[in-house]
Amino acid sequence: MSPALLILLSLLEGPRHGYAIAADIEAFAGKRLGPGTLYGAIGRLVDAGFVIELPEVERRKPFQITELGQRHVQVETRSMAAIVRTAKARRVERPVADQT
Amino acid sequence: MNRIVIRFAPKTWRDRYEAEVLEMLSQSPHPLLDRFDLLMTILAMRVDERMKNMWVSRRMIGSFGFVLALTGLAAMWFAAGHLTTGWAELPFHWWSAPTVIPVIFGLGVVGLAATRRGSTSTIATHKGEKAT
Repeated sequence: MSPALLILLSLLEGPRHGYAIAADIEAFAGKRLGPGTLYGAIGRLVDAGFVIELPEVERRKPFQITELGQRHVQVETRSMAAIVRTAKARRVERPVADQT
Repeated sequence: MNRIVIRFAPKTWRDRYEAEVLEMLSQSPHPLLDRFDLLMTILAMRVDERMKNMWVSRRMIGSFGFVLALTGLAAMWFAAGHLTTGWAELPFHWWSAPTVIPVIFGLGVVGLAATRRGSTSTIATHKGEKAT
């Protein structure tokens, strides 16, 4: 899953600053994002209009997901759900033992 | 050290996130890994920046790398055919060892062209999409 989507998923819970986003992603996805990957993706999301920067709080900039960002998450997760459904269906039709 | 690494980042990005990235790096449990991660991101951003002003696309650069790697492989195969013990002897002759260079360079170019780290293409895909 792309770092951008993980960040958007994290921001669905409400505005967060970079450190909190990284901690949340590590908790729900078990994936650790380095500062380069994290802020690189945040920069692209801001440029694309999926995320906005809020005024600084204690020298940290919180980020908030926009309506466009929410729509993007909807589209992406719907497509993922379809892939998971297909994977499950194919596995049911062809048990692992028969695949050899 | 962290300040030196971040100096290579594009100015607009640095102005926005430098303080926070430096803070995260200073608290990182894996500073070396994170520094490498930052370097790769900066490299991808720089490549992306350059590519915006170039007429060649990412796909074209990837194809060039692929052809280069294939040419190198062909040269390696040709060289190995002229050696008594074949592929194992390849690195030990001045005329056969350099055949590895286009393969490594070509694969590097393919990897760089394929990286999604700095790409905005996946984000842009759904930008105009409407919710159903």
